[in-house]
Amino acid sequence: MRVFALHPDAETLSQYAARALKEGARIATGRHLERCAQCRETVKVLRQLTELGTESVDSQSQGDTLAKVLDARAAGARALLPTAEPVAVRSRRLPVAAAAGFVAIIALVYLFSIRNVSAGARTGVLRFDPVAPKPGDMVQAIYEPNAPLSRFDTLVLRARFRKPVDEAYNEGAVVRRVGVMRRSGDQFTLHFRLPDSVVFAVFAVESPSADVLDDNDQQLWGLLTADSAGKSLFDALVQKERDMMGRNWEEGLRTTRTLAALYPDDPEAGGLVAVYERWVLGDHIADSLLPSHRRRFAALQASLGEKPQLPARIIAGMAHFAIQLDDSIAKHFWISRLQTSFPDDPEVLFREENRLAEQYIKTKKDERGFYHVIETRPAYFEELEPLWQRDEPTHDRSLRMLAQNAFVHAMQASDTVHLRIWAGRYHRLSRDMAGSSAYLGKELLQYPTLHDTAMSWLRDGVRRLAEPPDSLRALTATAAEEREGNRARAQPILATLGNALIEDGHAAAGLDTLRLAASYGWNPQVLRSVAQALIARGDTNAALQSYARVVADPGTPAALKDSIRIMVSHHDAATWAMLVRNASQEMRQSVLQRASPRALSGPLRLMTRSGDTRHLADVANGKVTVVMFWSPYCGFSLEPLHDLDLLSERLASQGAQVVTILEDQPFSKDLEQTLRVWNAGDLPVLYDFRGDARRAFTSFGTPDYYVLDSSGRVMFAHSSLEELSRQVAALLPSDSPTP
Amino acid sequence: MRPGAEQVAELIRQTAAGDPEGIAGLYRLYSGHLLRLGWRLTGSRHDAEDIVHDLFLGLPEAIRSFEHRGTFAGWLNRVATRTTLMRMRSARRRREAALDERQPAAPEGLSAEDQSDLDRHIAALPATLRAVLVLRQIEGYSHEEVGALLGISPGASRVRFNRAVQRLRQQMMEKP
Repeated sequence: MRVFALHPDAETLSQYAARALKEGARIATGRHLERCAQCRETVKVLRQLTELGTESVDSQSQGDTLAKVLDARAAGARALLPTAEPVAVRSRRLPVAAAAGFVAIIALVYLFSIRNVSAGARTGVLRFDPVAPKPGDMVQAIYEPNAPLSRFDTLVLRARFRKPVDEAYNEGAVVRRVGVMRRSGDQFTLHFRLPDSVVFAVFAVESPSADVLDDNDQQLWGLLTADSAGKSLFDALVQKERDMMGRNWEEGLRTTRTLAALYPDDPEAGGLVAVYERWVLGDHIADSLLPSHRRRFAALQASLGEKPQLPARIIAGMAHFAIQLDDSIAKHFWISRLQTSFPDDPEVLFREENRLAEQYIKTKKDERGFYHVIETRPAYFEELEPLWQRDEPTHDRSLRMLAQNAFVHAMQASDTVHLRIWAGRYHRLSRDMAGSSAYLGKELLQYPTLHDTAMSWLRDGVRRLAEPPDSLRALTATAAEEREGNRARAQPILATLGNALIEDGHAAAGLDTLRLAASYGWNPQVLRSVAQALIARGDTNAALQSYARVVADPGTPAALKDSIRIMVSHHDAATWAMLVRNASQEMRQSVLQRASPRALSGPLRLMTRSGDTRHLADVANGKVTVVMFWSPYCGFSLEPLHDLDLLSERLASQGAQVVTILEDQPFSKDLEQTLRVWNAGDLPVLYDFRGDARRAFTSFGTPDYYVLDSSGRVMFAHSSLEELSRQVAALLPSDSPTP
Repeated sequence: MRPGAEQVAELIRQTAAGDPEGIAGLYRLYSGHLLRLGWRLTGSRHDAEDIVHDLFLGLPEAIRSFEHRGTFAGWLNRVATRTTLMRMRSARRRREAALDERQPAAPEGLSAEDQSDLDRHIAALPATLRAVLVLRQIEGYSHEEVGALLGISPGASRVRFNRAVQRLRQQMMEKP
């Protein structure tokens, strides 16, 4: 018979309490209990726990939660749930083979989950067979349509195919029409061959005329290639991570972690995880995770440090990993090794350009941390030229960055000789990027010797936006949305071109071009140019209308409004007042046409300066609210803070408000100091401590602006500082004073 | 009243089609229990409500993976448990060094009538012990299942269960 020398463990007592022990154990336990008050007490507790059971909580707020769920789903919000059964953990130290198998299972679960992401009636389901093809394989795409696409007989499958050399982000990425999907019962199918060079692809499905689109709620559907054993290819995961940049940072982090799990001996994978952890989780958490990365790096250093011949990618990977760990000695070691072993590697050449800039360009840092060029010595361009000759044949993605650096340095030095050379190179490499021609053209216009080149690039930019190839249409845009987006992109180019034509003496052509620009959307700068051109031509009545639009715009500076009023003071006051009223109405309609209302779903908890938690709805409190996401580490989001502070003051008197949200840190004395330096000490600042706001707004990058109406819906997303006043005015009651 | 199998099957079918009626029906049947489960695991009423919200938000898509091999309530319970644990892990990662695991979680947001003395003692346990105790003794998972859910071995689950029960007993004796 079994006798307990010590107390039986809780599991045994639990089974005793549940009368689940076998006879021998039951008797032994009973005897122990007879003389042990402590264990009797434990059994009593266990019985109470069992009796506690699983009764429901009845609460008023449950009805509210259901309403929130249904509202959120109606607005298109979805959540992915962990439906896959977890894998049992057998022991703390897994054998290597078992660990590899475990990683493979996790990877398969992971792959399975991204292939089958669906979101109900709003989106359909796109699957692939095989789920993990090899490059060059035949693949069958099977699409179960959402409601809007189910009425078509054929659909079109479009894809962004990524090769191992493709860049991060998706700007200027080429999209391919993969083929026509044909109906087969309730599904649409298409067989296609994945190109040999393609390692990762994302897909969307649309109607034949590109007017109805299913892009899986902008997440698209991904297809990772794998080896014959089903293991995701290294390059496939790297390309997926690059594709996620700027559109889904969390998925990017998950991808890098999968990469590091599947390829533990690759330094690039380790470095990427460390980078993403810092971007996604913030410095505080990333710092706490550094020790494990340092151990991994040390192991790699031990195995790779003495190896005589390593590929450039591995050496560069070690250098990048060392940089992420802030290990200056290791960084120097691996960069030196890369320079010695691969002197013509694009990274080596790009770093050499950086060194030349440091050596020959003198700069001064101002109190805000910005650098200003004091002197650019000619040696920079002289020594850069042979570097470029070595770099250009590589066609590496770093070429464009090198050309951009040289272009900016030439512009800062007003060196038109080198500006002509480097602007040409930069333009050639960035021509497919939205806004590149406009930016370069506008910058070059100020140099008389480059005027003609600038004009030709501006025209080229307008032409490409007017007749864009379908391959440059985003996967997430219908043809109509792309047209509207291209009109918005073309407007500033046309305005620059129109003003330049007028300055060149081509007044009629310039005015026509400006009018065309004005027809592409409400823009007070363009309207003012139109008015000035009309005045110059003597068309006073038409000019008055344009000036009335400028005055009606709430973002127009008060001084400019006063100047215009003085200018028109000799005209009939009643007529002028009517023109301004009409213009105000016209502006409101024009702005509201571009509104895209959507509800915010999920909890939206934010931390105040004092550390309290508040929900955004409570902060918004029924007011029209401007929301800005920013970061103290992002110069682009610091610069507009003062203007936003001024806007906040103006809006307060209108019953509207500004709220700023920090993604990466709570309020602190350092942050207070930052706000003071940028003259924005009074701005309301909230900390998105659980990432709720970033998820609900689908915000990425800073600065990022949104405007909410009085019911808390997002009316304008990813807005700009210049547009905020107009958008708020359009959402306020029409009898409100102009902000 | 326990729902009939046909009624549940119909609600599942409606929910899988994204029908709000189906979602609302399943919500009325199961949300109370799931809220209790989430609260017991997290120690926070607010977190539990968020979990229930997210659970029903994603249910129409997730429900397609329900293969009718066990009861729907059991399946839903497992998904809710995984969702809760994922959230707790994520929250722990975010707090990381700042939060000492040994600090008891303060019961939060539940009215006195909703909460028994025993519930309050459970909520005061450290999160790692509380999770094992709730899953094993109240929800009835085996140590193999608890281990799989928490990413620990079954042996570790048994050890934690033992510690949780002893600690709970001590707490109850000190502050009945």
